[in-house]
Amino acid sequence: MLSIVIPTYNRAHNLNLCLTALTLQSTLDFTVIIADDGSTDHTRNIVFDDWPFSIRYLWKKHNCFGTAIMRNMGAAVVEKGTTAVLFLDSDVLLNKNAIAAYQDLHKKYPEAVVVGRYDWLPPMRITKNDVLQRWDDVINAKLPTSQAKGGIVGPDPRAADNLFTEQLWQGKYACKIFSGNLLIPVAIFRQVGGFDENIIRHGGQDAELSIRLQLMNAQVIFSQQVVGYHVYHEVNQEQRETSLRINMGYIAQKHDLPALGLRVNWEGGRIEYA
Amino acid sequence: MPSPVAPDYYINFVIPVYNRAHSLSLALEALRLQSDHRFTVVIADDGSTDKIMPVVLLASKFMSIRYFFRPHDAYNVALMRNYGAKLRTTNCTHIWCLDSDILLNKGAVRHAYQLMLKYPRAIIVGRYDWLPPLVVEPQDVMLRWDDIINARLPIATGNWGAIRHYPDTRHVDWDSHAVQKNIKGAALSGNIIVPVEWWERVGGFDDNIKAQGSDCDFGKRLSKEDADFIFCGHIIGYHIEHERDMKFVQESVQWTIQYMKEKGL
Repeated sequence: MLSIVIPTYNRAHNLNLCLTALTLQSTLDFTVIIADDGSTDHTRNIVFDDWPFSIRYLWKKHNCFGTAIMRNMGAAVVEKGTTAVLFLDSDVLLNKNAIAAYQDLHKKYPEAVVVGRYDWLPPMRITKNDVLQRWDDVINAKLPTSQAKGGIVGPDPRAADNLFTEQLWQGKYACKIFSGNLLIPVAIFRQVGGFDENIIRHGGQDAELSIRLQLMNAQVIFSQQVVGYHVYHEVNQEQRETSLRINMGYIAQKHDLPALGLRVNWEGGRIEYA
Repeated sequence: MPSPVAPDYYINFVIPVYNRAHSLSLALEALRLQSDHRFTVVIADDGSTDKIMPVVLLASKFMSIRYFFRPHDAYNVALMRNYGAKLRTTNCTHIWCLDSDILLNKGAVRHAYQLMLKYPRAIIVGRYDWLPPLVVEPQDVMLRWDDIINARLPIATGNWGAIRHYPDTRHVDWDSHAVQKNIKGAALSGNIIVPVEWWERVGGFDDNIKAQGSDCDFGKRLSKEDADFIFCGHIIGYHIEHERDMKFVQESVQWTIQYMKEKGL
């Protein structure tokens, strides 16, 4: 059985889209666990909407952007008999065959970590109806561009991210997993000790986890059949870069990176092969 | 005033709840009034359909709170306690099982920390006092505590037929040795502090037991492992009486007794 853990914080609209995309799945044999980091918007109303799958709700008082804590808590409350946890971000729309593909791969390789594709959508106005009725238009970016602050001004904000994803897939970066769309068998997740809760805010959690997975020789599979479409939202670039640097510094202190043949790319806030 | 103990101990309250928003608000108010605030509250919701979230949100202004909702399929008290324990904080050393209809006296946490200093590995059983079906409002907990514990508030009339079947244990001589010895068998899960290591060792409560009786099973398994039980009369849980389906309670207790016999306890 499969549980989907979705950490969220004040993203009610995107969470709604994410859950709507899950209703379109070819199989509904999964449990969704919403791990809410103390949202103050109407996230709860979205969660307690009528969904065709079983849903659990987890709420913690907000004190920091502790995505790792929320993911660990979500993974702690899986039902008995759950063999794999899918970590999904609240702003990711899965393609319709994703869960079935994940389940097939998990059946075939029960001890493997499966990483799905991650595609960035441009800033668009997406509604629940668009996801339900105009799925092709959503993923082909044929919806009206959002006029929100920022819009697409200057270089396309996706370009750098897409480049990163491609290079991740080509194996250039040592961080082989992406916590936004990632399936881990429960046993492996317990063995590796979950995400590091000391890493807060943006970035670094997946890199750190992938280092520990590498140390225990876990099998990692990439699957092109699973695509997570990331809904564009505004990001405070300055904060993001700061927190990335802090987290990279923490990882460099925690692990002996040179011994693993790795180094920190401080410019990009990434961990690369030395 | 915080109690003078080493800070390596940390309590997590685990409160299972099902459609008891009002008494939960009283229980949380009693926790707010504790003299020692070093605790986190984990509320494990067995699929309540009443308005529990405002209660949680209000309490979260005063204390660290985690909340977990699971759709209702049966009276999964034991299961919800286990989930609550899984959601404990990383620095948690003691899990305090508390019921949603229990008001703790103000010094309870402080006394618990003091006891832990002396007996870090013991299971601490608090005293359990039954109040009659009182009409208690959240502000009464702060303003009229003495009236609550002395049952001087108006009695709920509802479908009650006065004070019928509340077990009048207010006259139990809690200090007697016999009572303290017997408490081993049926560690009252409504007000009991279990060190995390014991919890892990016996694997928490038995999920198969629905509704009543999971505490007997838990206490029996702990006694089998030779856990030390300490009874603390300074930790008092005042149980607010509420309506219950006595037939359902008795049936589920019977089932549990049968189940425990089959398990060989």
